[in-house]
Amino acid sequence: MTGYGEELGELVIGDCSAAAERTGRNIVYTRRCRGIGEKKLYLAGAERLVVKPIYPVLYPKHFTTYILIHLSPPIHIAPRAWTTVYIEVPVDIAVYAYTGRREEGGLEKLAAPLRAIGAAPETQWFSIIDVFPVDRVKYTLYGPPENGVLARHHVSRPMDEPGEARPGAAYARLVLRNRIDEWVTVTRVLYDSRRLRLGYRHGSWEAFLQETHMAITGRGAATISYGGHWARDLRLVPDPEHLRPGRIPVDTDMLWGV
Amino acid sequence: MGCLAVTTPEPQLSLGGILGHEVFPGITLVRLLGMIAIIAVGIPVAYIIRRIAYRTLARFLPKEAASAAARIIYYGLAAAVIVSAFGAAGVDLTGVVIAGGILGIILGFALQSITANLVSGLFIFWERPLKPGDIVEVEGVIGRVVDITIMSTIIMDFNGIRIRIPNAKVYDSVIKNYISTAARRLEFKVSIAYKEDAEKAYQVIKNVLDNHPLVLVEPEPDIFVSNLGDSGVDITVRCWAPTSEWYPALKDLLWRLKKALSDAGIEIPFPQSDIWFRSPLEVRLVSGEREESLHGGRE
Repeated sequence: MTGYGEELGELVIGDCSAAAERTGRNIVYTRRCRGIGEKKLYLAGAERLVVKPIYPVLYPKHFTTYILIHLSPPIHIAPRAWTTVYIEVPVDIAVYAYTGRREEGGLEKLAAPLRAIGAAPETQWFSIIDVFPVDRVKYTLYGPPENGVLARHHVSRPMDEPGEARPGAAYARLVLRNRIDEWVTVTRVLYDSRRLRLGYRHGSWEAFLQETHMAITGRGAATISYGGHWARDLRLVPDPEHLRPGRIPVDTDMLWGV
Repeated sequence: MGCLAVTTPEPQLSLGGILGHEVFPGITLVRLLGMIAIIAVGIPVAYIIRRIAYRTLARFLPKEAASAAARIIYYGLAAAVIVSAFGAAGVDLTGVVIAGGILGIILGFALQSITANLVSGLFIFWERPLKPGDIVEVEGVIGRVVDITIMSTIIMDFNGIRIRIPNAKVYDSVIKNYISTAARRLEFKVSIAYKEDAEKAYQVIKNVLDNHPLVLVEPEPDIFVSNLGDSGVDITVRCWAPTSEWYPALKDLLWRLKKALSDAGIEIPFPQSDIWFRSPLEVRLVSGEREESLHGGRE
């Protein structure tokens, strides 16, 4: 295997190895990770297993949808100035099981014309059968315990260009705008994975998130809004149901410091 | 022969006469119609108010509580309509009101606890100090809230026993809600022997915390020597975990800390005492005698 989107045969990433073995009409999936343990599944009715990146909020359990990127070194922005940087956002490895059948209904109708240009949403029936991390997993609390939010924690340096592709990392373009009349130091960015659109280049370990905008509205407050994709030739990751955006898209407010 | 002429008065069929006619002693037709009109209009209005109250309250309260509150409002309004209607008809309700008042006092005393539970239930629904699914401690009972009805709160304790607590008690007692916040603190005490390197133990503990996915980066874990005990040096470890994962984190961390300290060769001491004898002890060992004593001989 050389990258995301390919059918799983044998894969070794970091401390983990995963393999799919076909036994007649069924597939036996095995994953071993040092320090995490082993998982073995016997899959009936699955046509193929595919490895894709996934938002890093499902391992070891899904209890938040937020990702907090700690910027090191921090970014100092002059009054009313703006800048664009690239940051690394962690992604976990997800194993998708496909049945080969397509969903019926509205989404498939919408997807059909877009499939020719590679921009169609996923309409095949799928299930995420396993998620495992590549890097060390840490969570943090953003805000006070009584009303703060839990978030997957990651440290990234701000970059002028996207970093080198590797499993476990996606790159987001971040546009920072200081809307107040004083210098601001930005040390962290909070993303809601329900609003993120994760894409990958088939057959490579390249993964990207869309352009995001951070509008600094006060000394310790900012709003994150989510734009479109800046990288080309991407295939979008099909979102699990609980990570799909709501009917009314909501920006992410950072009220407890930036 | 004289003629006796008897004249009967012509019946008066005027509207005023009909309306003024007494249907019941002291109640004219017009008053009776007025009473019927008040009831005919008042009861449907009370019903409409009940529906509005239900819809409004259902936004803040569970459906059962909203329904009960709306029903109370409806019966109160209906009673007011009926009293007004009888009053308009000229029926003296002073006796009924006094009797009703006395009955109310009697019922109030008799149903004191029921009323208290009912009102407390409404306040619990309103204030929401706990809700189904929460892990709470109420009245010394720790468990998961299964249901909150208008009269009582049902808690399933960790032994699988279903416990019903009247709402008045729940409302009056101290409620500890263990899962209402995003994160919760864990605290351990780890003891190491005096001969061990405390700096090394600190690094081992820190390493375990840093590599555990459920130990939060912020609030930052706190590791410090908290006591120089009788048997060893006590190190207190404080860290935060997601509230939903607090118990798994607690179990896993204690196990990992023990394993990491053992792997690093750090001794966790057990309580021990040094005994000093005032006079020196003499130990005599004679090879032959020892042989005998081992075989049950006399010392």
